[in-house]
Amino acid sequence: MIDVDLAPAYADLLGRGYLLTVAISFGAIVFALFLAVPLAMLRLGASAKLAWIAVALVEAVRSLPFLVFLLLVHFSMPLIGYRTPAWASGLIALSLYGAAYFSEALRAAYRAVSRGQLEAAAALGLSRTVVLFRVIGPQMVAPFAPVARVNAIMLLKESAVLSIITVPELTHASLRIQAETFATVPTWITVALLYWSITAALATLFTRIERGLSIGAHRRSVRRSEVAARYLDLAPAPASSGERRNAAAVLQLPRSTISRGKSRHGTVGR
Amino acid sequence: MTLDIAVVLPEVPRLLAACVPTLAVAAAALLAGLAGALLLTLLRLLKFAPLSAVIGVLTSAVFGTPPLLVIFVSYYVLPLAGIDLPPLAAGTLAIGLISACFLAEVMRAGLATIPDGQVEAGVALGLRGHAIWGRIILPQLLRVMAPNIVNEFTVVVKATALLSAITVTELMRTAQQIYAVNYRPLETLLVAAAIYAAVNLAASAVAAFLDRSRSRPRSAAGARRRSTS
Repeated sequence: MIDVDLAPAYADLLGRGYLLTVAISFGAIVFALFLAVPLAMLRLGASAKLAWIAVALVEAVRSLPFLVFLLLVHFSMPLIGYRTPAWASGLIALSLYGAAYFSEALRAAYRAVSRGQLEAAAALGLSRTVVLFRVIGPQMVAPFAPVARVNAIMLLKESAVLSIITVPELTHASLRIQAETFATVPTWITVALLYWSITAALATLFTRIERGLSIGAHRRSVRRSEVAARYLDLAPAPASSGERRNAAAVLQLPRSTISRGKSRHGTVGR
Repeated sequence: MTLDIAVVLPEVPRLLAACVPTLAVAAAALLAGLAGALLLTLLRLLKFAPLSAVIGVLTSAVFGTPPLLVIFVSYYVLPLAGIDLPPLAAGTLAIGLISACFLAEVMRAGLATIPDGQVEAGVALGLRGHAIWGRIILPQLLRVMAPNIVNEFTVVVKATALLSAITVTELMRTAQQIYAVNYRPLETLLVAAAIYAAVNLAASAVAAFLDRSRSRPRSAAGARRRSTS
């Protein structure tokens, strides 16, 4: 069923689509992270009016399907005097869309750091910059990183929507190959695997960053009685592993461990 | 080119009417997602390693590929296997599958919040497995999951816009049909965007309310309800 002869002819098209998908989504992730910082600062800042504007913008963007937002951006570029090619509209839209999500995550991470930390830093007379970079910043990594990972993967996946405005990225390439060869199944499988590889790479990258930067993050391991495990545990966990992980967490406990309130509900990600 | 919202005012009723298919698909996909999530969770509770592995790969594949791709596969590939679904059903199925995988993960996290004692008490009372699941675990699980389910509704509503790519005439495609005629894409899309935003912001408000009531201790909430009535 899988026609190997077709592969070389279309490998080039697929390869270019793959590279464009990687370039656009990684570019958008970086731009979005940079844009998110001022947005989050506006929301947390002293000016109530600016904070309100930032909230309205972020919430409006987050409530839209990416396709709608993309077309809005694409069609409003001429209004401000630019007729951007599809890929540029796509990159701009993806960056702005991501910025809304990342800024929300940054704000939540800032709120997750306990008030006492800020007050103690102020009481010690530390400057605002020092407070932000040395006290609050490092503690924001643990709550921010998992959400950032989810958002980054979301941006990668949303980049497939760019195919609708004819950006020749991976999904677009696959649609073209499929239309020309009718080799539907092998094409989709190949493309799915390619996306899967980028998602996995992104997830690994963010998990590395998470592990490298975070302090005071400790894994909560649930140990259940045998009876309860029958109904509440999904995996047959080896008896000793929970204990070992617990012990490791205790041994690595840094001096500054802050018992951060429950991670009970929030940590599920796509 | 200027922005003139007045030109699309006559089309607003048509766009509002197009909400019906969007919301219907979203509701159907969410229900399918919940049912699928329950099924996946129950299957994983069997702790049959090969089955769990298959479910793990399925979940990972669905999370690892763009929703648009899942929708295309459901629409273009299923017919090759003899399952020829109309665009609406194929799209709903695809979004439902994505939701099922996500909600199954939420359920997994939710199960971690249920204390051992609940199940142990059920077993001690001699309840059977289905009663323990149906009467003890599930009600508490749904209560814990309620805000996530409502949030998932907004995700699903946003995903329905992708169905325009497989010719489902929902809100997004209706907007495209309108601006194909009146050449006013920006204005038309702004109206569609306002409708999406209204639906999703309302849902987010419900989720936030549920989240607050979840974090309140139940006994206190009950006491307040009793005292006010």
